[in-house]
Amino acid sequence: MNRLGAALLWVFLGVAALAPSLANDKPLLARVGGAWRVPALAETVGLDPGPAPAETWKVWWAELPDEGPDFAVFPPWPHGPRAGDPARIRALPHAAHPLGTDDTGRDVLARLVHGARTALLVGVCAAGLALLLGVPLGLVAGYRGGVADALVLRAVELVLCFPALLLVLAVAAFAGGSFAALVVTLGALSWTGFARIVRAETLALREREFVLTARGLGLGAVRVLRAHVLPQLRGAVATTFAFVAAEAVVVEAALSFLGLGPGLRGVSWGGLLAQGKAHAHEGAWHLWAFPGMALALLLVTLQARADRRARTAG
Amino acid sequence: MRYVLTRLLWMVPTVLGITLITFVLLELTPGDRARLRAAGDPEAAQAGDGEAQRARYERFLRHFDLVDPATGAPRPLLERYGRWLGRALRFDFAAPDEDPAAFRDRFLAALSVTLLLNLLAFGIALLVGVPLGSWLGMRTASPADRALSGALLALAALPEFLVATLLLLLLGGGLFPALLPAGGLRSAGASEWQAGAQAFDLLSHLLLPVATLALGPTVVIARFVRESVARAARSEFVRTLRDLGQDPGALRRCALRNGLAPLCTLLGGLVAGLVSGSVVVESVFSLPGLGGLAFAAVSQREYAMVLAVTLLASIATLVGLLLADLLHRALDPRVRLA
Repeated sequence: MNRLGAALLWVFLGVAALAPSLANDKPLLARVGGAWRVPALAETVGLDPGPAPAETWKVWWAELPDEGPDFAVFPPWPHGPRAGDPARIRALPHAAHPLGTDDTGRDVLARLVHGARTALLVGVCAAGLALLLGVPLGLVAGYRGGVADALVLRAVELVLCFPALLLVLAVAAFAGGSFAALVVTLGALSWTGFARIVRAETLALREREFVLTARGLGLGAVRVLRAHVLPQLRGAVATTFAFVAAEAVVVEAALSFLGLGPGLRGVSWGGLLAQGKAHAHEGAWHLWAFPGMALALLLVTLQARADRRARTAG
Repeated sequence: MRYVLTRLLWMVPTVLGITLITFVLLELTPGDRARLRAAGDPEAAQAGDGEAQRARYERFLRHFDLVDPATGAPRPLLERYGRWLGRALRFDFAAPDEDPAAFRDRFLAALSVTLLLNLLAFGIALLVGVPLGSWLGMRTASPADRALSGALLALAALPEFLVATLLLLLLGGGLFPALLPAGGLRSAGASEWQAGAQAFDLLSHLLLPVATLALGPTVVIARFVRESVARAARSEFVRTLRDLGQDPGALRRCALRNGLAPLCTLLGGLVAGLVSGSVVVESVFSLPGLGGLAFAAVSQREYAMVLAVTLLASIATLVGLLLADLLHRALDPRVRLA
């Protein structure tokens, strides 16, 4: 079970990282009029793929003469998440589109693959920001105590009072639903998880012999925290990271489900699920079943990793 | 008593902090949208008409008296915050073209729906979660515990909107003939029915949303109680009682009482989750509650209502956390003032 969980998590991370190279209607590698192009790879690392030589890459490919220097290598799944086939709207799964197509005839598998990128990018960025804010505050609060501790605890209480989804909704309405606004809001709301656990652990570690020895030898607070306290916290921080990332994934999906998400140019599991809910009575089961399974699988995987970590850490 | 007073005093800066954060929210002007659109962001352009947004925002500023009437420019920052604080403390958020009493009525009507939903969900979560958790805690590592704990772990991971959608599809007529109504609070024409029929109608409308809202807290409570009962069951005093020949029911009661005190703290934290859950559940099941109201307000960029709900929800959560701490201390005198 544990190996399966770890493997699944790596699969999700891999798919998210490589999404534009796995499912795309742009080629991985192409030779256009003697010049080399790598549009799908450029998209993978976040660069502009550049204009297609014809109306689209697919059109260019179809019109390419058999003989000639030009050629292209397409990704393993040659459908992009945005280009739809108007002739195939909400098609049920069949050979050409094994997971069917959506409202505007876009391939569901390609959208799931790119949706994983959106979900995990939000999850990892928000949890990373929360970690950068929460861990130092927790260390200072636990190690210094006194006024610093009281201030951090008050701030934690203050932030805990805000209902996350409502605040995220409000920010989406007030500042426009951008990806950066979502990540910053989620990070600013969820650093408390890191701060609380790190503070509690630091309080306990502060009295341990090896920390007392290091302090007795005259090491500064920064050195003691970095070299002696921080390494002990790795398990607790990893657990919290998985929890916080899972929460961020849920918020992003819920926001897209409600139609207010950032969904890196509109590709999100939550958005697909909303389509599925709207058209379920017409028999379009593939639009809620597949994104629902993807989301549930990712969340259960994250939760199980966090749970196992928490138990092995004691 | 001193503890209660200290806690109440500590609430003052927290409430100020809440008003400050909502103020910052208010200051994030939608004028940024126009700038984004100018920068060529297609989503920003899609999100709405920048000019209309700007006009609505300025009307809102004027309403809250945040604009200097002589010059038309916004007042200085500190003064803006002061005026906002005054409004927030009086809970006066009526929109520019709305009579304050009408706003209050709208708000209170929605609040009663949300309270009904959340109290029912919380009650069910406690009634199911605590017995389930203590039952599992007394038999850790048995096949039943292993199976149910795994199931609870999986359920803990499911988001509310997914559960709501699935329930709606299975029972609300999405896939099969509807067993339960899919949305709203009452059937059309229900007000002319007999009292019993009306109550039944309301109940059938509440069943799916309450079940959705209750699922998350039930799982959290059950897992928490299981852990603490299991810990108590391993402790010396329970072993002694068992050796003295006490029956299993008495043992469970003893172990449970030990595990319940920390549960209070957990419950305080769950209040915040319920508010977020209400937003999703009320918009999926189209219920006229605060969450649905907030969502509609966000979609229509009705800032006053968004701020009112955010402020109320945060203060309710703060009070929930406080009550939880006080209860915890009452149950377990060893708890110190943090």
